[in-house]
Amino acid sequence: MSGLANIQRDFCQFAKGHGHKDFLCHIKTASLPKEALLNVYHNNIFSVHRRSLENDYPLVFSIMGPVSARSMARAYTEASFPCTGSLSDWGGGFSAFIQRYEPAAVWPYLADIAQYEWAKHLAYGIGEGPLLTVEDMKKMMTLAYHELIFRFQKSCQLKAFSYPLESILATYQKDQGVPPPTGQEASYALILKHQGIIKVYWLSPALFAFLNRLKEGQDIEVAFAAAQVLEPQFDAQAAFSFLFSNPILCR
Amino acid sequence: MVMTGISSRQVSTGIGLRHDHYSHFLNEKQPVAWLEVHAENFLNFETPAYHMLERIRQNYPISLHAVNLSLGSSDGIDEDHLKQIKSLIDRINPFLVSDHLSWGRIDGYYFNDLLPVPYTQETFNILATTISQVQDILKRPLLIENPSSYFQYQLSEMEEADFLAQLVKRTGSSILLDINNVYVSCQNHGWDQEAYLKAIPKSKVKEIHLAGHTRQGSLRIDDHASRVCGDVWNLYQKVISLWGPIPTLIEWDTNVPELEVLLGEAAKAQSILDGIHIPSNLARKEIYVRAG
Repeated sequence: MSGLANIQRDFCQFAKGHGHKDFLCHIKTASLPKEALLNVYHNNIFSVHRRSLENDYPLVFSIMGPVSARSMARAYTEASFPCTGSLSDWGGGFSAFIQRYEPAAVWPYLADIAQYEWAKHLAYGIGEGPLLTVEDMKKMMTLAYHELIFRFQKSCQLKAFSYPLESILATYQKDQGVPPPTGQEASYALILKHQGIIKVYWLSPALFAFLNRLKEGQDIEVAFAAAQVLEPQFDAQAAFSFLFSNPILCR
Repeated sequence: MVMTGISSRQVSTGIGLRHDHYSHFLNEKQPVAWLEVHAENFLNFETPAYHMLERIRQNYPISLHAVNLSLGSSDGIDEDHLKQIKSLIDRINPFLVSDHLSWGRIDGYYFNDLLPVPYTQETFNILATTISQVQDILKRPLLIENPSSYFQYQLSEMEEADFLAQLVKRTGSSILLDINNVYVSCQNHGWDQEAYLKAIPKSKVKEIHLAGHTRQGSLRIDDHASRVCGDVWNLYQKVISLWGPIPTLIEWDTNVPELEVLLGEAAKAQSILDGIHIPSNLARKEIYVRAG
């Protein structure tokens, strides 16, 4: 192995938390301890990654508090250094990491919140297609059910959460010091970007199932049947009204 | 009209464009000749941030400062990343493109930091190959910035300034001279500032960076979190008086202050640039070529 590659691989081992013994050998003796000099880079690296996570997951950081969140961000960074030169593409595995991270267990819904925040982050970086017009809708009305295919905005994400996230988020947003609901009751959201702004719609389980089928490209009858399994009185008219009156579909 | 260069009259200070200040640049013309952005913050063309940049560049020439090409990596260049940078260049047509004499990637992992390289013949060859490859793909010369550093390698066999001077000569690239980095590294390693500057070929310096740093005991940390210190201003003044006006950027990346503070620092640098007597129109032409 070349001298340069050797140095860089030893640094990689150090950055990933496997000790600095090998790398210290490469540093020329100075008036300050080598460890202290190396730590400047160590701190830089972790603060850059922590700041990136903090930007993408502001609520996770706010809920945990700065000290705990920094420890978790450091652990995540060590375990998952980015493999991309663009930090905005990194951090999608944070939610799965939180689920395994023992100190975060006191906030059982935290992984859901991370998933929610990452969905918003992803939507932010996706382009907006031209919205469906009234004329388009009129044309669609002339088609048979099985001919109708709905094209969702690319930023549109349908997310299912294990916890009642809408109420949990409301509790934190009101900041009244009241603990959020702890019951494990699933919640569903549609997240998209419209005119550069992220929009979140909370859905019933049946509406989620209905939209999910349509988004997958299945026809209305299949989508309707999926919704009816969960809600026998599912109101298809209200569902279409929701779909057409919000910036969800594109041409 | 899109601004793609800076005029002779504007040689010239710029500031680093930061998120907190977008609206100031969108709402009214600010007294600054050009702006620099970190390339890696704008690689996704669908973000509102990129759309802001598109609007802002209508009124300000943009210098593109990459931080993750990892020119000194023993793995060579990440072609996917370079393609993304090239797409951005094709869209915003910056008047300068730069990155650092450093590395930050190995075996596919990015550290998102500017790590120092040992100054050896092997490193020189790797950097020369990579820089040439990048310039071939970007179809323009790259500016290479001298790093700030906190330790030196046992293996190093050349002085940093000599290494950089030879590297730009070999590759046809230019230098982005960060005066604060010169100061920080010289203080940290006991290098001679005069000797450092003497080794730098002045005709190759196309941009200067100025930034703040902090002290931790006897160590200087290049954190871009404060005003430019007096010693660095003095060094800058010396460089300008010896070499003539060079486009100069105020960098501030951490605890970013109100825009007025950055503009104040830029005005200070401009007053130093303006204090230089330019003997003839010919000299102005030369500056124009250098800046654009």
